[in-house]
Amino acid sequence: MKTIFSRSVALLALGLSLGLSSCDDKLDINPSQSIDATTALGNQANVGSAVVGMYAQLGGPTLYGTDLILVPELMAADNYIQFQGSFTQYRALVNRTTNASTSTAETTWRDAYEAINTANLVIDALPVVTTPALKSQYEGEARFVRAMLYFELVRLYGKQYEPGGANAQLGVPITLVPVKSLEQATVPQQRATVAQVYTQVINDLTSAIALLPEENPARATTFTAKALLARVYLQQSNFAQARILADDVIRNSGKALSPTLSSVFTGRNTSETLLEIQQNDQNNAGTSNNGLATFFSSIGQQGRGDVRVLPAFANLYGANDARGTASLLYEGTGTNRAAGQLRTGKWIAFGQNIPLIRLAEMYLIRAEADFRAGNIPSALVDINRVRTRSTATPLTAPQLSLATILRERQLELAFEGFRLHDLKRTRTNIFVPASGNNPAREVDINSDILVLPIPLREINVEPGLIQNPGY
Amino acid sequence: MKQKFLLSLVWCLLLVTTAWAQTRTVTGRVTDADGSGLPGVTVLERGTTNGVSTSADGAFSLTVQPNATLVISSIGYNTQTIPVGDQSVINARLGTNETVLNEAVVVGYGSQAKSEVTGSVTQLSSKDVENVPVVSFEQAIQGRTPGVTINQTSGKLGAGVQIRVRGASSVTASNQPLYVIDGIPVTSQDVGTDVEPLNPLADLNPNDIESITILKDAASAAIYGSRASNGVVLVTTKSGRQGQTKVNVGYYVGTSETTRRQKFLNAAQYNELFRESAANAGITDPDEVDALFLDFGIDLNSGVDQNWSEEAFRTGKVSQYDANVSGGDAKTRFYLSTTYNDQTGIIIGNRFRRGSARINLDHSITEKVKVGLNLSLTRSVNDRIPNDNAFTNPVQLNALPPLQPKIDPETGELNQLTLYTNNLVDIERVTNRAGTYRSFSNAYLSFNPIKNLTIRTEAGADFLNLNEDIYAPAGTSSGGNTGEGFSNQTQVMNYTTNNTANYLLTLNEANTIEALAGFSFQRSDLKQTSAEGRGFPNAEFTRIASAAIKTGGSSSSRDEFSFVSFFGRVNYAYQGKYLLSGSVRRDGSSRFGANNKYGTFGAGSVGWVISEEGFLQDNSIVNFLKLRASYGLTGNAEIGNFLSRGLFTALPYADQAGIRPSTVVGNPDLSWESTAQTDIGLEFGFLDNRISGEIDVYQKNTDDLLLGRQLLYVNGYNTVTENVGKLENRGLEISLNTRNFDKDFKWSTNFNISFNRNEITELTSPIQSGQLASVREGQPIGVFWGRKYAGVDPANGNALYYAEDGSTTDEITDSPLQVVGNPNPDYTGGITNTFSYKGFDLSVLGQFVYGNDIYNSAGVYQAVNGDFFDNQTIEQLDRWQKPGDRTNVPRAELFSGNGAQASSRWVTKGSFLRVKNVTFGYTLPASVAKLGFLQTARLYVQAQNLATITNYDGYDPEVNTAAFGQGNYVLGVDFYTPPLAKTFLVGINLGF
Repeated sequence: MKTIFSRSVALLALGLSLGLSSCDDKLDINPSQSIDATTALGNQANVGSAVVGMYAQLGGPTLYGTDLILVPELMAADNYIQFQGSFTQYRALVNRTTNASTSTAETTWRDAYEAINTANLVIDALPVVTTPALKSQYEGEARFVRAMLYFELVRLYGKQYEPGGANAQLGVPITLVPVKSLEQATVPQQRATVAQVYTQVINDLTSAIALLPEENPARATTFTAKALLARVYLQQSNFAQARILADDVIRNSGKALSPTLSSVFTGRNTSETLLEIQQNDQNNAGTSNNGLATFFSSIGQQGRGDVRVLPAFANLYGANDARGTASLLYEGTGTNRAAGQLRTGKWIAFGQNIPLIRLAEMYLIRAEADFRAGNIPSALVDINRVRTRSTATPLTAPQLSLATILRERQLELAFEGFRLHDLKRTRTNIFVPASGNNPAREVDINSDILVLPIPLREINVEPGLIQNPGY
Repeated sequence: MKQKFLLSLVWCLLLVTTAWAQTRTVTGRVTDADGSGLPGVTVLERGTTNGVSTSADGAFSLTVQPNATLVISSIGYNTQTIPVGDQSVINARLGTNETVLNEAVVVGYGSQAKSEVTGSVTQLSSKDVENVPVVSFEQAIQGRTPGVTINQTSGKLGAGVQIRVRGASSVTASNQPLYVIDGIPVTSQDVGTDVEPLNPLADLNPNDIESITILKDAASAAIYGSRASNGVVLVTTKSGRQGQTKVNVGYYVGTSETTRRQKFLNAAQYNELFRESAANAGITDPDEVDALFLDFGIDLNSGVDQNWSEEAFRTGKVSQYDANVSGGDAKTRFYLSTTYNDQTGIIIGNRFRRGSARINLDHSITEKVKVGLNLSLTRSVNDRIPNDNAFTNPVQLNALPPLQPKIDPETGELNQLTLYTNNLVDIERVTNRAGTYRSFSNAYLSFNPIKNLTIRTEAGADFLNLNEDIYAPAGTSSGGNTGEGFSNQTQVMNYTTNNTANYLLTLNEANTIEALAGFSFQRSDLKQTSAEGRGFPNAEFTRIASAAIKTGGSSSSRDEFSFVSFFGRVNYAYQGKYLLSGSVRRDGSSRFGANNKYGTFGAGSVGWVISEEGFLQDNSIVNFLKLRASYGLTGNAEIGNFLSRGLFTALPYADQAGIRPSTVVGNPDLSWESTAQTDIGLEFGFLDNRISGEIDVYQKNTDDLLLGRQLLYVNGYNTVTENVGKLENRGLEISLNTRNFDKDFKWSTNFNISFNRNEITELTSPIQSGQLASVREGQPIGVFWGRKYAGVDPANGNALYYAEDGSTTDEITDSPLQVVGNPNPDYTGGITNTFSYKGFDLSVLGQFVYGNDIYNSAGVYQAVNGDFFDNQTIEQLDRWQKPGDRTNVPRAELFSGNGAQASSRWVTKGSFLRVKNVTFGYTLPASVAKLGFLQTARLYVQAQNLATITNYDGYDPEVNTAAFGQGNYVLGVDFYTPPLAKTFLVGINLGF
């Protein structure tokens, strides 16, 4: 009896001690779909992957995948497009009843700063990149992405830049520190002024122009950075600088207008574009609740058909203008929408690329700058270059005015996320046509409601952040 | 050779006889108070697992150790404890006891007599969960569990069930209890890919359950250490008993309906409201009005009156066949069962089927060595419907204007030109099926090397294989223009080994000590492989192999965790009067940060059986009185598996592979949540247990909340998971059981009521969800935080909100955000009345929930005075129309957003009283049954969710949508969520 007992005790003890010694291994389980952050950017190849990841972040639905393009259109929808969808955050933008807890303001802000942090981490990790050309390219790409996002943020969350003014109105917080630890992630932040944000954007783009290569397939080149800087200067009404850069891109980038505008959107990385978000059927911004084709298209069962192009806008295209014909403005066939309503042909496939900067914009920038500088013939040539590509009747010199140039921008760049920003920089109020018994009226382009709120969630976390007026 | 064999056989026999010489065989008969034999009574040798159950006439025979004590127990009767001494025949007469005070209670790694338990536990028996038309057993015990609230959340079959044991003890980590089936922790959290969870416990056949024990306080649960804070649910499956073989077959069949429906506008009402709405928006010219509506595909003059909201529902069906055989002899006991359950849901397109088989086997190799095996295999198939937030959710049909027809008059087909998708097309043509293979299995070996010492080793595996298949052909809303398919295979292997030694030491008559020590290891490995494709040649091709384009849902992944644990427990009893118990567990887990791999948890408890004291011993009124108190520390480890790490994840960019930092910043200090719980309980029995019950008060303080603390987005991350924050739950539970009549006519009542008050006592920053639900310091979890609706300005029909100073304003932004509702009930409970007379039995279970609020998140679309074209609830007809009108529904004005923003306008009281279950049965007298060669025969009719009394104006007040994949602090939110089913059935059980 006693032996049985002592043996079993011994066995049990042995079992327990075996168990004990191997325990720590048993608790050592690593994730299968992720890698540890401390070593993630430890070599050149991984930094390269993070640069790709940065572009992918840009293509997310809250950034260029949808919102950075859709939202500036919706916020100035009157007399242009009608939002027929059910998403309350978009309806509130159209109706100008947005409040501080709108999800759009929150998710765009969040994802922009996440991508900015990736850019900061890439810059921080550059010492491990041993190939000099790649090192400079990666830095240029990171600075370019950072600049692009700060530019979008300051336009959406701050009041318009006033040329010649102090621009002390609040912009967005600027963070250039690569955040890796909890300590860094809890540093409080304050909003910089609009002037400071523009200075940061211009600094980064200037560096990027120097760092980026002339060739970088499907990614940012030195000309992409110049083109974006032209857009930035235009937003500041710094027409002279904008012209220099646009002119440089037109002359030296090797880019050329595509034979048709629709081919820019149906093709991939055409000769016209300086930067596109790359998408395909596997990887895209979304097919049911996100994505440009989701909201804009209405083709049988495809697309929500939420954005209808109003006849008032469609009628601005002249008779021969390809931009007003079925390839670019088609009658939707979606089952949940009335027949015969117009939809844009720019966003018709879930997996299509999203052109962000294209050469036509550079012509339009140069035309506007030239016109403002009094160089009418040159402006006329540029405008007509854009028009004739789409078989629109060329304008005559007497027809050329600032208004027609700005209208040409609207016609050419419609549904690409320019509308609100152009109205703001040209101080053009939003025209709301008469409807029913309500007379026509104008909405002041400087209204508080045309600036997105700082996300309420962000202010809850950091009460020191100052909310925009009106929220 | 032959001789050698014979010789060894003789030796063996000799050995066996020597072994037999140390034991003795006891026979006897167990009868009830009237002297008739009681079948199925458990006769157990105390302190061991050696036992039998009595045969049809109450006889038993059991071989026991010398000086053994027999514990003779049966549910519904007083347990008797009889020392064997020199007797070889023991007859026992059991008095009835419907108070279940003295039954054996399953506890962690063992069992205990209820009277000796010093923790707070609730035990339910097979009869509470058998033959109830539900998918999983938790749904059957609603209303019967003091301190445990169970919310079915939705009428979808197999949907997740929310269970809170003594309130929510976490904000971001799971609040669901740990489920342990036959000693093995099982996968109880959803492993599917849909945003709405599937309940993995639906794979357990409720008819196989012998008992369910819910461990509520620290004393009972701390033996499960870092996973015990949310309570532990121990499920024990049936096992065979020595005696005559019993065969039981059962069948039920029935129909089901919705518990409640909601009313929407008909065509005339829609026309009236929306023409007014257009007029108020300045559009009065009839042509212009028609044109405006036609823009959205609505023909105001169509003459159609389609009742869309009713299209989502139908009469469901339920049926179940089941059979089991159990029995055994002194060496081998077995239980075999098989069942087939088929439920056709009340929501179109929804159906659940489950077939299962089980074998539970125990075998005594020798007197000292026993082995056993429990093996089950379940196949369940769930035809699912889309999540609440999908346009294809049938309940969303109620948003379609009644002016649009269901059938296109020209084609005779389903009309697809509707405001939102006519999802009847999808319901008809899309398949969405989740099929599961599940096996809960375990094997054990137990060894009694010496008297009173049991060494037991067991290994268990919970294998789950889930296959989700969705195919939407071209032309459906989900299938787009070319068809879409998705197929996902999830496999979870979750295995555990428990090794325990249990020693019962009786020092003398007065002092008994029972000690347990053990070691346990668990590892779970989840693998997922999915494929998604678009572009099918035609609807006859339904597999991804035929898809032209493989899309973004194609993936494979893996997720693992492990636990290593050591534990021990000591119970000490002095004269059965003073009870003392202590337990400790040390847990290590792969989930925790590098700096905190191991944690130690423990609890202590004391009990005083006052009725054993001299001054109460022969009291004619008080026959049982026990005071107990416990205090202990438990943990909650249910967070994601790798939250302590800072990680980079892959992010594809078209056809290139990129990486990015995860949105959660790493925290190497991450550790479990700790809950310190104090419990004081009183158990009583008066007048020979005619009145008995339990009262418990508790205080649960949870520290180190695993909280996804929100970080400033500006710094690049969303959250960090930290041990910050505190919350507490305080509560009172009362259960009271009475035997009102106890003669031929029997009537007993079981009543329970539970009060729980939850408060977040420390939080770094508030958490806010899109559905008003919020977590705030000083408030209970999940309070609705938003703007307070103040009704309608009688002068102009504008929606009003309360301003800071208490006045009203029609500028919603001038109204401060504040607490506008609380989804946590003030109290919950249930009452069961059971009657029996001769062969008739009737039981009525009522369930109540009082004082909670519900936020109808769909209100912004469906109850918003005709702001957009969605059909509106009937109440919207009460809109303001002219100055002086006093109403709560603002002026209808198309697109104006008048009263259309999220606010307390859609927060309403969610209290309800439900007649949960009524069962009326008739058992044939044994003499009659025998004529048909039957032991027993019972016929019954049953109604589940028979009546629901509530002021809630939505579908069903027992609701919480899971459509937004939100945190578990989102409670009481309705969003096109279907109601529960009301089921009527008839059934029969035959015993051979």
